Amino acid sequence: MYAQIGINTNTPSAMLHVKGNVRLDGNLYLEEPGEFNVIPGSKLLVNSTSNNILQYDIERSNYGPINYVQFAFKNASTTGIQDYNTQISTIDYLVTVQGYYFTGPNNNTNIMSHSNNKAADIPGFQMYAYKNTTTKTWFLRGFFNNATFRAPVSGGGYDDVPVDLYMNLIIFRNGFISKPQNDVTIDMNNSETITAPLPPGF
Amino acid sequence: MKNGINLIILLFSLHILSAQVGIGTIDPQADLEVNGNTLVQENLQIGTLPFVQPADANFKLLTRINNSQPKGKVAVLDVDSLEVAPVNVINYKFIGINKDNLRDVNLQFDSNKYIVGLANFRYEGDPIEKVSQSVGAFVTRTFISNDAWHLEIRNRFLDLAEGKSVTYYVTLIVYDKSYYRNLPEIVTDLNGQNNGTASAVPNL
Repeated sequence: MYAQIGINTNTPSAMLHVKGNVRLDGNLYLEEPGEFNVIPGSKLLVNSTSNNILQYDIERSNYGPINYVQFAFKNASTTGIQDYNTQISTIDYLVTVQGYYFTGPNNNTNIMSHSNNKAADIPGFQMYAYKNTTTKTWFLRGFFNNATFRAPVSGGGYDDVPVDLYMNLIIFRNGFISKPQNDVTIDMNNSETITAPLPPGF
Repeated sequence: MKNGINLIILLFSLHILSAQVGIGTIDPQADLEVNGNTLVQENLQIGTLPFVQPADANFKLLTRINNSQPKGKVAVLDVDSLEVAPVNVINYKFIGINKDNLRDVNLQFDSNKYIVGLANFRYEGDPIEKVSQSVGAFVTRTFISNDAWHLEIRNRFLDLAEGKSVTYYVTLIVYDKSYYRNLPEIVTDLNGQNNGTASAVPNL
């Protein structure tokens, strides 16, 4: 009744020891698998599209659940970037711009945004990723509104200069641990405070 | 559970040691095939587990359900069928703003359950004007108040002039705390210096 069972082994080392492959057509329940709280050395388990249980090694896989990349735009227009095709699929990934910085030629940090309208204006910035529905790829934009990048020039004064713009992207794989939720528009009705509606499920 | 015991008795009585074994099937496709549910009461060890290969895609994370019956059902995490995924990406647009000031938007995400970050910021509209050659202090941040995440986007020091308007676009990244840890705030007094070292290694 309480003997150990071996399949393809005469020396089972557990209540059931299968030397070979196991196929489970129904559900698998693990009642007391034990606790594990040490991340280094452990791997997540995934189910492949052919229903095999695999170890997930982010270095061997083509993608991580969350991926980071810096796009370095060298010698970009004096007005920044309007339409840049990352060629990253909008079906498979969610692309977000989570940081940026810019320099002038030769890593010169002596560079600023400068309004085309009047010196007193503080140009707002827009650094974002958006979906191109034709190419089905993510595009990037990075610029200051109605403004140029400007730097000191030899001989004195300032002039518009090409900019080296760096954008820091976090790229989430769709359908793995991340998903897009519906867009939300909030009308502040001229108030500085509001309680926004909570999206469903949260 | 009763089925589990019966299966073990069956296996033991069959005494099959070097052939393919089928439970609930007479045509096993592996060294052991169980056509039905399997309950493991203690440990499950898998000696050789292949790795995901570069060509593999669209694999799903496995999770273990604590409150299933029986306990511990292994299930595929299918975020497309869940209302809330471990990571949720939501585009927000704010219109009708008072000057440039989103002073305090209660986003209502429970800070005990979620972490909320910002991405893809867009300031679309009229510029704020400098005062006394100052650009003021433009802030985009999320913060916790009364167990909920809030949002602040504004120039704290300066205001948009009367008759001018701005629309803000921002993407919220909402992380489920069962997957993403929120560390306690790390406070350092730099005593007027512009460099320093954390007083302890952050608890990671």
